[in-house]
Parts: sequence; C-alpha cells; structure tokens
Amino acid sequence: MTAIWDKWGARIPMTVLWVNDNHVIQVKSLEKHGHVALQIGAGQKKAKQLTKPELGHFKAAGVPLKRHLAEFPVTEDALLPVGTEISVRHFQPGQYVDITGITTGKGFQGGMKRWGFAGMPASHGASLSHRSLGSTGGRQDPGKVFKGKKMAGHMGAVRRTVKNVWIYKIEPERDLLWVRGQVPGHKGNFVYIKDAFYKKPDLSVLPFPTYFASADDDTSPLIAELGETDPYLQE
Amino acid sequence: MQTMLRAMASTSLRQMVSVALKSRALAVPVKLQMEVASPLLSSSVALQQPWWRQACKPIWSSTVQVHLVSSTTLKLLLQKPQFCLRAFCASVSAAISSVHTLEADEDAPPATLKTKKLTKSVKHIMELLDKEAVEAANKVKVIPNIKPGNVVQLKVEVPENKRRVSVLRGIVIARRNAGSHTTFRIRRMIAGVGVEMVFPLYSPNIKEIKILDKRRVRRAKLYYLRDKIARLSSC
Repeated sequence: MTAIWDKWGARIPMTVLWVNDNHVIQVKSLEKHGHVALQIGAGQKKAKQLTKPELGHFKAAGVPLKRHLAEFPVTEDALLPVGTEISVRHFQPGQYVDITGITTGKGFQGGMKRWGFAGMPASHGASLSHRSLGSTGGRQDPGKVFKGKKMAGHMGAVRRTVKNVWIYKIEPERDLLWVRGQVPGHKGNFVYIKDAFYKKPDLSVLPFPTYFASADDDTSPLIAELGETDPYLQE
Repeated sequence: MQTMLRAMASTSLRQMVSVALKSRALAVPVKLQMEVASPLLSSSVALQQPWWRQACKPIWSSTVQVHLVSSTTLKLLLQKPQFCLRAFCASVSAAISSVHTLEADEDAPPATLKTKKLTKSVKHIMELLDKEAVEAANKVKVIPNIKPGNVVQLKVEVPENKRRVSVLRGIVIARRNAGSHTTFRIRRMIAGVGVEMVFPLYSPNIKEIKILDKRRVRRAKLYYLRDKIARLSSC
C-alpha cells in the first residue's frame, strides 16, 4: 500500500495491483461444463515447476504456462477465445470494482482481536481475565452454549471481497492498476478483480468484451477524472 | 487461426529462447536490422532483467525491421516495448524455424525466465514506483536537503482553509526517510507554547522551503529540545 497526492492536494491511500500477463486459458460452456465461464491465467511459470497434468492443460490450449488460474463466470456474449490477452485497459479509471482475495492469516487469535470484544478492566480487582470472553450463555436454561458462539480461534486466511473500490490510475505500459484503499491479502498475493456489483459501470463506455490492443495505442498512464472545480474552494 | 498464431507466438516467447541460445552458432539467419542486436546475441547466457529490476532502456529502436510470421505477432511485441531482447529473438527464431522445432524443446526451461517469489518482484516494483514519485516531485520544484538542526521557513498552502498560504518557521528536529513519504518535524515556541509540526517533504501543499540557519547539532533527532529552555526552540 502506498499513498499519493491527487491534483487537488488531497492524500489518497492506494494499493498497486499488477495485471501480470493475463490470458484466457479455457472457455467453459454449458454443454461441456454446465456453466459459462472464462478461466484466466496470470503470471509465468517454468515447465519444470509444473506437474504433468498441469503442463498438459496448458499444452492442450496452446497458451503460455501460468502461475495462477481463476475462473470468472460471464455471460455468453462476453466469451473470449483461448489465448486472448486481457490487459489492464479492460478497466477504466474512475470505475468501481470488487476485489476478492485471501486475507492475511493471523493465526489463532483471541476474542478481542477476532470479534472485537471489549475485555475486562486492567485493574480494579479483575482477576486473571483481562482479555477473556466472559460469559458464554445462560444457566440451566438453555443449559448449553449455542452453536456459533464467538470464541477464540483461527483468524484470517479466508477469501473475502472488498466492494466498490475506486480505480484511480491505469498504466498500460507496465500493466499496473492503482486503486483506492486496502485490498485483502499480502503483497504478492493474487486477487480477483471484477466490475462492481452495486455501483455498476456504464457498459457503453467500458470495452466489451475486453480491450483489444492495437499497435498504435497510446500507452501513457490514465488518471481518473477529478473534476475541473476545486473541491476545497467551494463552500 | 489468428488467435492461435498469437497464442503460439506467446508460448514461444518463453520457451523458444533456449533454441536460439543453444544453437549458439546463430547461423540461423536472424534477418534483423537492429542496432544493438549483435553484441547482445553473441554473448552467452546474458540474463535480461525484467523492467522492474533495473531502469530498463528499450532494447530496440523504432526503426527495426523483422520478418515475422504474421502481423498479430508483431502487434504482440510492439505492445510491450520494455520487454527484453529474449522475447524479440524468440519470436524471430519461431518465425524462421518451422513448427516442428516448437515441440522439440517444449519441456526445457527457458534460460532467461526467472520465476522468483512474487513477494520479491512486487517489492522491486514498489521501490521503483517510489523512486519515480520522488523524481517526479523533484522535477516540479527544487526541494532542499533539510537536515536536523536547520532552521527552516515553510510556505504551506492549506486546502481545507480555502487554500490560504501560511508561513511557518521552526527548527527541524527530526527527519524520517521513507521514499516519497519522507517526513520532517519542526519545532517552535509560539506564544510561550512549544509547537511541533510534521510535514511530508514531497507534499504538493508545501509551496516553498527556505533554510534560514544551520545550527550545529550532534544528533539525528533533537527530541532533547523539549526538555531544554525555551530559547533554544524559538527561531
């Protein structure tokens, strides 16, 4: 995560995402697979690092070897042929996206960190229970602890989605994407970016089904529109 | 067919370098007219670093002429001018050698593809982006090298306060280097009260930094001034 100053001098926290060599590896169809989706691969991998079944999967499609594969359900009219490159220009600055990733693992954590429990006072006679859960239920009725009671346990390393993330900047030359705010996971983890569900983008403006690059493209960075009027001078 | 060709060419990007380098003779007629071609190709396994490992200069100029299989392959290459020579000579050899050579060495790992841990690559990318941000900020205005012990006068524009430019003065008591978020701390006695202010060095809201005086100090952080007499903190 970093932060930048936008053109009006406001500081925006940013996460930089790297769309590293995304290609369509497999197209899933209703007849053969039961659903309509695109399997997209990212990254690079050496042949010796892959198992034979994995190697065969890439060889059958005739695509470069990828580090990570992910499936994205799409509508039938948005299917792309195998081997199509999906670049960062699929998205546009100013658009909202949903980003899914595996969160940072925190290990075995107590109730205060995991569920936000308040704990007990540090002094005034509290004995041996400053960070404990406290009570777990009633007495003879119900006579048990309900299932799903929030307790200490493993925290993190689960798949989560951050919604309505605003794209600030796109750099097509280096396949970089600047988004505002945090993204689940550590540096170097793979995340899945989709168009936002609740702030749906305007499909007429976005490239559909994806952005097909041509040789005479302008590869300078694109920054989101921040308006012409200074937001700090309007009162 | 065109996409299949493109997919094949992209497979060859990674896996065909070995053929070009192993043949060594380079009697394979490399029909290029390239300025930097021969010394690089004739050297043995010269590892070409990706764009995030060093400040990469484009390997070829725009006046290159190559005989390629199809126009789509050319487009794929021209999209990423920062990509290394290995991609370039790989596709050339693919163009010249026939299809059967593609299957011959498919399992051999390409000599110049490094699939390091992604955490390392992304660290390099972030460092590079940070360096670029610092260089961009330095180009906009000259930022003097302020050290602890300097008495500075700042002209700070506060966006929230209708963009009024306030003049602040004080002695720099700390400087924390963190790339584009390098901050420094200023201390001053204002109306009998000690006031400390922290500013990011590369913030666009700091319009001017003027060094008024340089006091001799023997520390990097002058927090001891908080306990000293007021005269030492007034400037």
